[in-house]
Amino acid sequence: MKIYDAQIERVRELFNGIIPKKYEYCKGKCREENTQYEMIFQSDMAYELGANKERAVNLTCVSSNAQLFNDKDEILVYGDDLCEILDASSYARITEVLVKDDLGDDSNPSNMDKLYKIIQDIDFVKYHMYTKGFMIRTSGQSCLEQVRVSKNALKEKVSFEHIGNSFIKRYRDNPNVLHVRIIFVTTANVDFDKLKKEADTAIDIRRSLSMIHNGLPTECGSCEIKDICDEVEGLRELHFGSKENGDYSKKKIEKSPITQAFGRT
Amino acid sequence: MAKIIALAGKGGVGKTTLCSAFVRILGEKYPKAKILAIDADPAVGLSTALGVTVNQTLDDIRREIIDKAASGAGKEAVELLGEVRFRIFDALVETDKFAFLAIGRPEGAGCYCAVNAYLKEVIDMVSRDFDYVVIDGEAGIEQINRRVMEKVTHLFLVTDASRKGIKVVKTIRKVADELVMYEKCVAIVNRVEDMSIVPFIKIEGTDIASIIESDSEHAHNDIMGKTIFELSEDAPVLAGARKALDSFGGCL
Repeated sequence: MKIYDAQIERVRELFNGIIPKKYEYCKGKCREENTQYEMIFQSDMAYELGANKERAVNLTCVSSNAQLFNDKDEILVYGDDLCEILDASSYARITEVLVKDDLGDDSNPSNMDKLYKIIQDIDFVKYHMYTKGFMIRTSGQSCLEQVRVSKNALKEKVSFEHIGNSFIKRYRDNPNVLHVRIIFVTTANVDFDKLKKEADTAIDIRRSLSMIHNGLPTECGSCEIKDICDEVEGLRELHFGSKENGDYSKKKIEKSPITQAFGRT
Repeated sequence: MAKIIALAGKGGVGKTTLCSAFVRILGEKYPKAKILAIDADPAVGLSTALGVTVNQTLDDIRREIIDKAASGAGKEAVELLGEVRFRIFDALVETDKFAFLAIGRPEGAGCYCAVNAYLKEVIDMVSRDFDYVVIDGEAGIEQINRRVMEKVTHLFLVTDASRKGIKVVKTIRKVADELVMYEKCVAIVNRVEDMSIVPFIKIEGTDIASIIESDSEHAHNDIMGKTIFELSEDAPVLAGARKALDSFGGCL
C-alpha cells in the first residue's frame, strides 16, 4: 500500500531543520484513559490547543513501505510540551502507520475492501481516545483536531509522551499495524498551510476509497476528486494487477502515483 | 447520570422564565454541579432570560454536517457522531455558572422533525457530561410526541390558570405517560392574576407542585433587559420555582 507514501515524504520535509523531542514507545507510560468521552469545560481547562484563531491539523497516513519507518514506534514533539505551554497554541497531530504488506490473495481485487477497512479502522482510533484530562475534538470532515487540556492533567505532569504512548497502544491493538510514528506539533515554525493541504489530500484519498468501496454511482467527468480516484484505481491495478488482462501479478511502482498526479516531488 | 429536567406546556405560560429560574436555583444550590440549559423552543427566549449570546445553534451545525456528508466527506456513523462532538462546542455557550445550547430555528418554512430528531440524539449524548440538563421545551405537545423528551427524568407541566392551559397539560401528561421515561412529573400553575381562584384549580391525575402569582417584579426586570440572575431572591417566580423543585424532595 503506497497511496500515502509521497505524502509521508512531503510532510517529513516540512520539518526539515527543526529538532524534535523523541520518545520511544513505552507501554508503561500511557496516560490513564476514561471509559467514555470526558467533556472538559472551560472552567476546568488550562488551555486549548488548535482552537479559535489557532491553527489545527490532523493527518493520518498509512503505508506498507517499511523503508519509511524505523523498527521502533516513536513519538516526536515539535515545539513546547504540554507542561511548557502557557496559553492557547497551534496544534497538529500527524500519525504515520506501517501496516502489513499482505492484504491477502493478491489475485482478488476485493482486497481493496480490506485496504479500505484497514485505513478506516486506523483513522477511527481518534474517535475513541478518551485520555484523562486531554479532551480531543476531532473533525474528519475538516481534518481538524483540537484539544482541551485540564488543569488537573497539568498538575499530574501530563506530557505528549504519555498521550502519544496511549495513541500508539491503541493503534497497536490493530493486528495489521506494525509500527506507528506519532508527531505532535505546537511550534509555529512549521508551515501549517502546507500541513493542512496534505490533510485535505488525505481526506480526498479516503473519499475516493470510500466511493470505490461503496461503488457509488458518480459522474466522473465532473467529480472534483477524479484524479485521486484514478490514482487509487491505478494503484489497485498496479498492486493487484489488471483484471481485464487476466494479469493479477503485483507490479513495481517506480514513482508514487500521488507525486505523478499532483506533480509534486 | 444526569437529571434531565424539562418544562412543557401551552405557549405563553412562562416556561422560559421558570426554566431560567431553575438554572439559577440549581446553580446556587449546587455550585459545583455542571448544568446545561437547552433552549428547545424555536421561539428562542431562554438565551435572553439567562443573558447569553448565541452564535450558532444546533440547527446550524446539523445543516453544516449534513452538507459536508452529502459531498462525500465523513459520512460513516462514527464520523458523523465525531462531527457532532466536534461541532457541539461551537454551539455550546459556556459561562461560569452553566452551559447553554440553542436548538435554533430552521430557515424558511418546513417541518421541524429533522432538528427535533437531532436534538434527541444530542440530549442523549451530552447529558452524560452534565449533572443537570434543563430543557425549555417547545410550546405544545410536538416534542413529547416525537420522543425528543424520551429520556427526561423530571417533567414539569406548566400552565396558567386558564382552562385551555390546564387542558393542554392534561393532554401532554397523557402522551408523556406513554412516551417519556420520567421518574417524576408535576404541574406548575404560573402567572395567576387572582389568587382567590387557587382553591378551584385542579389538574386531574397530576400533582400541582407550585402555584405562582403574577410577578410584577419579574415583568419589570424583563422589560428593563435584565436577566434572571438580577431578580431579587424573594421574587414570586423564584420562590415558586424553588417550591416546585423542592417538591421532588432529595431527588433533585
